[in-house]
Amino acid sequence: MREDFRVNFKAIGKRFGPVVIKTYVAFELIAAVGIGLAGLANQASASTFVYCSEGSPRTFNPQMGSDGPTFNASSRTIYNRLVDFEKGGTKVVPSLAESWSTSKDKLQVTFKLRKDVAFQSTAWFKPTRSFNADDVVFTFNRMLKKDHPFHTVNGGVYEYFTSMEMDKLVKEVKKVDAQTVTFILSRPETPFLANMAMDFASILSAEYGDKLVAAKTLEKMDLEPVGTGPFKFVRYEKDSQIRFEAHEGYFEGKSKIEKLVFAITTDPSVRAQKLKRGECQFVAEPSVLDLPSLKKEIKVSVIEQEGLNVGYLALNVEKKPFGDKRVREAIAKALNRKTYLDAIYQGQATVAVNPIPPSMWSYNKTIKDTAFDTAAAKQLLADAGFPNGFETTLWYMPVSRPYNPNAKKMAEMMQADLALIGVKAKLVSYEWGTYLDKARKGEHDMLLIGWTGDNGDPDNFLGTLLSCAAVKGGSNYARWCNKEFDKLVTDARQAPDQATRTKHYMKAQEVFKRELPWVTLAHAKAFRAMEKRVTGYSMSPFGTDYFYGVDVQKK
Amino acid sequence: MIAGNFGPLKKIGQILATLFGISLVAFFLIRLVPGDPITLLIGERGASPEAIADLKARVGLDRSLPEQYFKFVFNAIRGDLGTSILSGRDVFSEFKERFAATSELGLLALFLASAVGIPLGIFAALTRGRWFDRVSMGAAVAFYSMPIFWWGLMAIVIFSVKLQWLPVSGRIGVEHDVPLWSGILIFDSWLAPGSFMERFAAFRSAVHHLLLPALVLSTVPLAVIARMTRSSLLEVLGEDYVRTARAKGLSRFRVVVIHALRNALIPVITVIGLMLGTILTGAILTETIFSWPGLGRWLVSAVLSRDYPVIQGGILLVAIVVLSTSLFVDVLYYFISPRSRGAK
Repeated sequence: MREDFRVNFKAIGKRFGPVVIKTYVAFELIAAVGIGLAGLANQASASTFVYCSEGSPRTFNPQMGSDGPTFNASSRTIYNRLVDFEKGGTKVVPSLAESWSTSKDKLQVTFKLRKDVAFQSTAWFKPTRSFNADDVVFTFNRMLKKDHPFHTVNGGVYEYFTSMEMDKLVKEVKKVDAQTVTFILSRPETPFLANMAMDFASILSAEYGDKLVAAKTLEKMDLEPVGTGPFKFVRYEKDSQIRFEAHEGYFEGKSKIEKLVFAITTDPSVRAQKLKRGECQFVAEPSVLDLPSLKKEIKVSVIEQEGLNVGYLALNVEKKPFGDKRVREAIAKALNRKTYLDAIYQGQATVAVNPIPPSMWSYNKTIKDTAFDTAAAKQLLADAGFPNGFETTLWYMPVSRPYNPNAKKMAEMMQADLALIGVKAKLVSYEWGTYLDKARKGEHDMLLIGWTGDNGDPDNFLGTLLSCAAVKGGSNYARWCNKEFDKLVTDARQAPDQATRTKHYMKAQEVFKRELPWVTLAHAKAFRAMEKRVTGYSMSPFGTDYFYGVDVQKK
Repeated sequence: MIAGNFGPLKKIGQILATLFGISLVAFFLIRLVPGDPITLLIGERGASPEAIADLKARVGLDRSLPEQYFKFVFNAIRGDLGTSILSGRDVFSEFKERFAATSELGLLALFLASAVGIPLGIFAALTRGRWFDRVSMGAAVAFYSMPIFWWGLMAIVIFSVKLQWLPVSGRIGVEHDVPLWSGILIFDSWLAPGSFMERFAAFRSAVHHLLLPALVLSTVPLAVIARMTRSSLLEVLGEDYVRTARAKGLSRFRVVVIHALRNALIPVITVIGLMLGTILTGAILTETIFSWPGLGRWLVSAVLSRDYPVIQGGILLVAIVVLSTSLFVDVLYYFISPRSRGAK
């Protein structure tokens, strides 16, 4: 019966074969023409620079962002700040402000502004005047004042400004004359200048703001941005690509790259393949797993730098038995941190001794690291009244972060180490939002977490993560409030000069290491991969990428 | 009873009821998950409780849940789905872009899957038990169980890096500056400024970028369609009316194509219809590997960041699309299947 329906492949081949072949030949002919054309198009766009970025920006207003992709696509390209970090470093240098001075009582900081700085001229805005004090007042009032026309636009979430408590620190931004602006502070604060170099302090155009208010399209401020920076925004296709062009009137001179394209590529392996294939010239955050194969490519160069970060295990001192210093020390001694570095960071990290990375000023080199010593750890536990150990929980992050690429694996290794001194740690994890929420409320016992620096100031680690105020703020995950430490950090914040501040921070690190609210784990290295013909790039310790001054040699 | 007489009305009533149910689920389910958008925005950084409360108030999260829900439904009926907390853009315009990108990829993938899968299934059925059947159906099982992430990367390594036939990822070569108009690049490439030659090159680039992700995305549907066609056709070929038709002396081609295939394809079309829904929303992995800005990635990233307006609005819009497709499949049925027409 079935035999009846047998297929005659020969007959089908005879009938359809020629058609398929003809179609194929026709396609090839058309494609051959196409290849020629694509070649022409390539030649025409010799100064295009393609950057394979690792994620989409949230917005094009750096005031409302907190992540690398947002800053790379806005503050690093479109905007400038009053002051800036020197290229590849953490020193504060002039930018839109030529100079600055602080009043005697340290409550007023006055900036002298650079003259003849042009805003970008785009399809949606043609500036009629250069940058002046009005733009600075406009920019900061947007974040400060609830009655500013733009304050609530596009959600109005100024998370960085708020979390740095800038809204409490800055009382008023006053225009003195067209080229002079004074910031009036509510208390003396030395890190203020470094804060002004941070991305959220990028300067918007007040004239553009007025135009949008008149047109009642306020939301365009953050979607069709205008700044003074080296590149002007052209177009964004969400999660796909961002196009920029060189700003002809840039005050430091037009960029060598004429067209800058961000090809958003979230998967790190795919980014590596794209670089190999020449689809992009530069790769952000290559995966450590792809580094060996990238280093083998003749056309590609890989650069690395000590990251401005720390991964750590926070011991919740409000929970028993971690209030006891001996228990904390026992945990620190029980963990064999060197083995974690090879397994989790593929060796691309250094063991952290202090809570701040070694590249930061005021790093205390004299501090001795806690040695791995299981026997001593056992003894300490016995002294604290736990000769047989105890049961506890160890929380690990569900996400990969630069400071800890695989928290789960690390937690498992820690669990095994802790078992040797009788501490039975149950591993706990939640989805990232939940994890942060619960950790902020202090529900954990031991918690894996970390930090990437924002402004190169030690206060950004010691004050933000370990001060008594940070317990309330939720970023002090050890919930450790030590009077001696807190006074040192507060004094340092208000100290007149860097030498005095350094002295305080050195001392603060001693207190930290004596009290051990954290087990410091690692400072991870950061990587970038690019075609060898890319010149003029230097890596920023903050993990953001800056393209002004970068050039691509012709093939 | 009245509903029985007014078929279309009944169908629309059902759709509205479904949408209402979906709005409830989409709104409340995500709120059961701890962690809110503001907490996630601030991340490891932390902020004072007052600052967090202030931010929540600004995006309307301080109000009671029923109040938020009614506001959402009321606005949705007026056609306003709100704005994303993260990007500040309105949900519908984000959806439109995503929908275009997903359709371009999804429809091609489904077309490939059907165009290859159906003939494959037919040949397999007609050669039951012979080498062609065994090889093709074995391959179908293998494709079906292949992890998409791995297969996608393999496809890139083979076709892009080694053979250099196709680009690695993205939607079009960066040398082509094509502004989005419809959102579907194989059309938009023709609308871009420039000579005919340049537009042709842009079109070719768009097609090349489309091929690899479509190939990867089509493997699972292809396997399902092929196996489905095979078993359905085998079943129909065993039926009496086919035997009768054959006995009447009709040609093999007529019997298989006109008589048997028509009935055999009914379940296959149902499956394809259902797949349309899943391919629109479920292509997350493929979209991630190939940096394709589609609906799946959009929704997943919204869920991860608890961008409530995008989740609510996005799910509602996707539901409307899926329900419309199912309506479309019903209509298609009507034309293909004599049985559903004969019920009149």
